[in-house]
Amino acid sequence: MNDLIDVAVKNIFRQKTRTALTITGILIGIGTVVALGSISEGIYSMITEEMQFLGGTIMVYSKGSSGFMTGFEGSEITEENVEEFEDFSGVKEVVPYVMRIGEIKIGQGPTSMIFGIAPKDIDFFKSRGTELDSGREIEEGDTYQALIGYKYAEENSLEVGDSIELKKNSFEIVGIIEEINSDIDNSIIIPVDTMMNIYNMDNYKSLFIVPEDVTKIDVVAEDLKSSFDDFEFTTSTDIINQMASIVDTIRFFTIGISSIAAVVGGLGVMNTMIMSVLERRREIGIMKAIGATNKYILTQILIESVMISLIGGLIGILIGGLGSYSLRFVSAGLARTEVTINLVVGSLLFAISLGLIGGLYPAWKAAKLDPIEAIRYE
Amino acid sequence: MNNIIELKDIEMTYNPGRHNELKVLKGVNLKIEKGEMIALLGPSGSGKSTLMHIIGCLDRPTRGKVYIEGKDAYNLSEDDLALVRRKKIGFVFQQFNLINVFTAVENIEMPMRLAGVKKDGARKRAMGLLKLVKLEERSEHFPNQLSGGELQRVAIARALANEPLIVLADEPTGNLDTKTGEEIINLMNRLNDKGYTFLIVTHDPLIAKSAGRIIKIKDGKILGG
Repeated sequence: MNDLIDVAVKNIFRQKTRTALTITGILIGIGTVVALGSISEGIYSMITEEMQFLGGTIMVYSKGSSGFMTGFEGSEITEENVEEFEDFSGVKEVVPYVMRIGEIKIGQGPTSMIFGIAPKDIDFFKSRGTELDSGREIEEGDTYQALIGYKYAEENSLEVGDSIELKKNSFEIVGIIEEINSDIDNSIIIPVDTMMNIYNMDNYKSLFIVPEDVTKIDVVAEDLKSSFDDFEFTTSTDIINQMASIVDTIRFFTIGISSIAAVVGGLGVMNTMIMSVLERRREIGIMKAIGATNKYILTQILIESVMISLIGGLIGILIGGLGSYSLRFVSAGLARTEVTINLVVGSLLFAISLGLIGGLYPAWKAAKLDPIEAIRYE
Repeated sequence: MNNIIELKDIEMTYNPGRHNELKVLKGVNLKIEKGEMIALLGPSGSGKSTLMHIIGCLDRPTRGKVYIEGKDAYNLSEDDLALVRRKKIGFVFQQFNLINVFTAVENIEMPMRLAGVKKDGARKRAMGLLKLVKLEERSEHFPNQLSGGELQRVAIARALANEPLIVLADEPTGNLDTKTGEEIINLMNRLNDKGYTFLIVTHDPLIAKSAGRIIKIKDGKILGG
């Protein structure tokens, strides 16, 4: 085996320019796969991180509102509804909230969101892995106190103890939430009663229901659906599935289409290996005459073609990774690209299989060479 | 009996049954003993190269049997025939046929490496063989840095790598000037004295003169055979 690799290295560097060009073909393809693939991977991980926060909960909206976190104005979940949900079998906790979007514009960052949550429900968020970066939580009895997201604080140079103004009411910032790569990063959280008061809201916008047994979340959601006609119940898995199908589409267009480039690179490998086998006919014949088996010749040619595609793949991953990084840099963090292990391993396997498939025909041709004819060949 | 190779009723027909059917060998019987030096003579087209290829397990005859150390060689699969070539046969060609990307010593190592000899062992024996053909100072040279006579000496050393039963040489002096050709003949004679068996396809009267046995082939048949 060592010998085969030794010989393969010697052989592929015989025609340096041709080998370099073939490698370039593969690396452009694989590099594109990695760079574009990192976009869909970035979107996917952004979604899963966001969804992690909602893991194990059922989201409830009144029918007619357009869905989760859209900032739809009509709040139609009443205090009585909340009590009904709390009494429903299989429900452990009900967390109602109100929200507004884009009400204040300090600085230029993305639109911020304002959430009104009961101080006792803050634990609900904490239990989903949200920790404070500094300060304290909103506590029972707080009124004009606020928690703010990490990015919001950073972009507006706010610290614990500073104040912000909402509807001409001054709020004291008591805590800053750590960065969790979610909408929460750009949010302001204030006590729900205060918020309903200053925005003149009578009802809740939406609520989260935590089931007693997380594994039965779908059963509880189904039960709720059949008992309450006026509300829509969505589990986090529903949303993840919806998002996943969107991500799959994006994946298809990024990875799928860039794969075409890689396949063209694979054809380059095939072409190079066919040429190489033709040029080395005589030598292959000699090898067979001195006792190389067909299997040996086949393996030899396959190792050479896989070596070419592997080198192309490795450089391609490197360049694609750099491309992905610079994409993030150029877009100032807007395109959240991510070169995942899956993407790297997948691209590498893809490169290897291109070499294998591209090498198969020339290797088979070489193995089938008649040594007598090949030696006579000038 | 010391027969290492025995051919029985070998027939070789190219394109059988077609309009361009060509009978190259028409019933050849031959026994080769260990330690022989045989010159195979005949006009071009007489079938001597084909006969050599058949003995060398490179070309399956249309009919007849080839026994190598008593075993029916062409009963074997393609890959098993390759193993017989590797271990039992050494080839020397008119065109030398060394592999250009390998140095002299690497060319000699190749059959041993194919046979699974470890790198150190193969190197040691290859150097020994280079010494035997008096080329040890050329071990790291590539074929394009060697003269014709040197190339043929490396090729002979390669043929001996796995201690073959027989060395088959196809016009080994055909591409060399007279003086160099003579050196090669002397080398083969010297190796024959050491016990190596040679079958040499040739036009060279000098080889014929030094051979222990001369086989003449004409129109696909061994004369007087």
